[in-house]
Amino acid sequence: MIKLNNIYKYYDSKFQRTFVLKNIDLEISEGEFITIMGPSGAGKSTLLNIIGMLDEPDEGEYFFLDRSVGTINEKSRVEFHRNYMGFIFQAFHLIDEMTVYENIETPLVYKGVKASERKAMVADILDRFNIVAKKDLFPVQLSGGQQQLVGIARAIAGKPKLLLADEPTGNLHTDQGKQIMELLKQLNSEGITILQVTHNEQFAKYGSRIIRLVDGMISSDERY
Amino acid sequence: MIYLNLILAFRNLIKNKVYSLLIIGGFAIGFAACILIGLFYHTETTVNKNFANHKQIYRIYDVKKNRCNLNWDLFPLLSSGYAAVEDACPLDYQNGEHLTIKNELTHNNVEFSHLLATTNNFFSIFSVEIVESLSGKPFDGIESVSISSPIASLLFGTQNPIGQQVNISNYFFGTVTSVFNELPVNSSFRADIIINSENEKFRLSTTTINGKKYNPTNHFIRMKDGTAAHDFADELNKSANLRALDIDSLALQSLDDIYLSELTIKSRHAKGNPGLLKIFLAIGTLILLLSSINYLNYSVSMQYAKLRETGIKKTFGAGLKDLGNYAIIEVTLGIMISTVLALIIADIALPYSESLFGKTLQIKWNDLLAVGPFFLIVIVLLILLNSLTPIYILSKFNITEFLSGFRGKRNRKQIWKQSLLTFQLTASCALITVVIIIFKQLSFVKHSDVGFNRELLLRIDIPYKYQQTDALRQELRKLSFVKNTSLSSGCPGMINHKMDGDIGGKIMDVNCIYVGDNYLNTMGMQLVGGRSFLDGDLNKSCLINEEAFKQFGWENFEGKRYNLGQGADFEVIGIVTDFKFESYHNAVEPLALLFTGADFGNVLSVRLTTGNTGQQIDQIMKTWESISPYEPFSFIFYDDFFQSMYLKEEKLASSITFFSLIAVALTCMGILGQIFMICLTRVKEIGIRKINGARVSEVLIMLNLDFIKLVVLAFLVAAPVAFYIMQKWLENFAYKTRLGWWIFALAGIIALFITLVTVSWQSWRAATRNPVEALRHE
Repeated sequence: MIKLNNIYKYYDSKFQRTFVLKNIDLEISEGEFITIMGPSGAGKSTLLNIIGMLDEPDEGEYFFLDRSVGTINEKSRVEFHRNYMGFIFQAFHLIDEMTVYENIETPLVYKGVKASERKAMVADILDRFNIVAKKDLFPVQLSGGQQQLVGIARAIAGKPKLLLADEPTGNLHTDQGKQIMELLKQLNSEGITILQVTHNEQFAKYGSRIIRLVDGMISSDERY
Repeated sequence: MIYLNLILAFRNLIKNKVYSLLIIGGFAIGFAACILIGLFYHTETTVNKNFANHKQIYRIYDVKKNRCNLNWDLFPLLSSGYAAVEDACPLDYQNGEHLTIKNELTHNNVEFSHLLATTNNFFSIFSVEIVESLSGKPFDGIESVSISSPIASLLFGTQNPIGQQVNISNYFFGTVTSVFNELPVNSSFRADIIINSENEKFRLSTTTINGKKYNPTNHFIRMKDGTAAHDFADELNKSANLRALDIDSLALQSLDDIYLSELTIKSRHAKGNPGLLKIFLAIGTLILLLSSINYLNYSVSMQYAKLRETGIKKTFGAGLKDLGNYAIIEVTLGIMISTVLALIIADIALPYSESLFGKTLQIKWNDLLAVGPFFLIVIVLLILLNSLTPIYILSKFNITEFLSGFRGKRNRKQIWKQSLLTFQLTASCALITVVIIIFKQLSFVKHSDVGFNRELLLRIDIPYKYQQTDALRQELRKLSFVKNTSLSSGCPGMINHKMDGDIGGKIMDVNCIYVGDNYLNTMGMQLVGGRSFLDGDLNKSCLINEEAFKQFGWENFEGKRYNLGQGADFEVIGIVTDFKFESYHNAVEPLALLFTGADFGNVLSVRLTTGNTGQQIDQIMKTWESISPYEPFSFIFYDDFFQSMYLKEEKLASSITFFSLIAVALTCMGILGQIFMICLTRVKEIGIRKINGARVSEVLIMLNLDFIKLVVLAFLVAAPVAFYIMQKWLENFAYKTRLGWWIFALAGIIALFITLVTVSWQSWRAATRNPVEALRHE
């Protein structure tokens, strides 16, 4: 599904070129659950952002579903975001002025889903995650774990093929974190490809493949 | 989608309650001020346009002699069959000066202000509606008087006024032949009583040229539709023997142009002040700009604050179009709320417009329709501007940069914001300076030496043909608080006679006051040279003022004479100090005090001692009534009267101050908004500084410094601009106050002070906050 060839990402300043990512070659198939790990500054988030088309590589090719998407225009990118990808962030990044219901609903609105269909889809997810009673609350009224739950709900509302998670359990304590990881595992078993970045060795083991990055290069790529 | 966006926009508005209220409220106030100014401008530029035929009505004036009061006998000439002239009428005016009309039957007296002398044609030219008449025409017979409906009810009550005898100021005696409805409100002249000037005795003005007497009057014509004024004027000049009528060459002035005309002909019509209009327009535009800048900064700041939210939306599928739609809805919501508020405020303020503009704005639907489209366009432009700017910002920014936690680009858009803020500060500094100078000039002018002692000096109006002046003065002298009395024809503030006389060969226009005995003592006037009048000087001597002496070009006055023709020849026996006898705008003109005894004088000046003025007036009134019970007692104090001459300028000063305050307030709101956002975005930086040992005062200074730099810059730009503008304004005055440097320094300090207070007030909280809290949200 995802093929990265020779990806480079660097910043030029004065006389120096600082590499964030160097010579990344990567292949990811559908249905995998991959964890990207590495010390701080290794380029994990950058790699995730490039895969998620939030950022562009300076060199190299990126194929998503056999289409070259390294440098694509705004319109196509939006298409990909709407139909194939979902994002989960460490800081949840929910919209504070919207209720839980509206937060989950918004990606569907952008997709152009009709109102009645939207209602059905959102209701489904609320049900599944057991947060129906909280649908009219605002994020500020929820606990950390609940917020992340909503974040995930929003991310999968549009039934994406790929889920990108940047430190999803970073702001949660261990129990909440475990719940989230269990949920991700289940989603993966339903067929969603999951790519997560984390520091936590324990949570990394939920995946089937661990890629370690050091100084912008892949130092190891192990499957379990 | 729109519904969702609206809800979101509304919630966003509520989230930043204070800031939103500030900007939206500020904009509403600014917009309301603009609406009022716009309505005022519209009113001023449509004066006289409520007359049905206004486009075809012209006034005739003499270009070479620069006057519009022409020989009455021009009227038959104009009506004598020019193809271009549909109708013509003469029109002369008497305004103000305590005119009274008396019902001869009941001796009921009514004071009125506007007397017109004209012919029947006037009523059709100006489409004046006749309510009742004796015979279908407004005038019927040589002694016809037409009265307005309000006068009719005041003077006659429920009686039928038609056919009744009336006496106007003991000067005109006639019969009421019709009642007319008042002229349209927005006109340059008004009419309470109209008399028939076909009657030579009913003509209001007389003049003598080269021994020949004639009646000067305005002349109006209604031209045939489509005729060019220029062409007709040429025709008129060619065809008639104008010289015989003491006319040089004629031109036409459109009725619409009279009010704001740049022509300098002396006219009894109300004159608007085109300069003033421009000032108001400038201030209105300034206020609009300031409010818009505030709103723009607000929109942009809100956008930056919501970068996070926008980024999130982008990650799950929002296209530029979706974000744009949202921006437009959010902006439209805010501006709509402001506009509605502005309309409400303008509506509430409308009745008070008199104190702002010097005239009450009477607004009808067609006025609103005329002004509406302009403001609508402004609103649409604002909405576009305020939504496009965020969209532009959106398209430029990179999501990843902020998703990883940073809090908004700082130094990029600051140049724009800072220059806009500097513009606002410059406007405010300039306005503060201008207001200070206006007040200084006004107070200077009011208190500068008037040349005679205005305090405790009473002016009693003597009605025409009043017989009991001597008796009155005797009785008044008996009152303990009356120091002196003196009779005169005309007085400072009301010059009745402007004569051209022979000054040793030169013909010059001199303002004349005919005075009786005791004049200098009563008025408190000072002599510069020579002596004052003695009994033997009666009808032989006169005093001139310093300006006259200067203009006559004499080296000394001994033996000089002032010859008015027809046997009136006066020896100049002294020079009196200049005193103001007209509105202070004009340079002082030459004046002569002619010692004629003033037996027919219309003013009795009474010098009082200090005491209870109310009681003094009561006693004087009783004295008056004991001597002449049927005459109205009309009086005013000289200092009050002179005050009223400044009324217009005082109103100007107060309204400019008022609008300047609004402008300054808007700038403050702009500053507040900016400091608000700065505190928000620099919370972390401030926290870190405090942890590293910065004291609260140091943080405050740091925050204030940025603004102070802008204020200084603004001031440097504003001072010369204000200086230049004020120099030009002061040229209107004969007596100018000095523009000392301290005025500008004061303005600068005030601006600085306001800025410091505004900035410190808001940043106080940020500076005193516990740094731990500031750093927590990581």
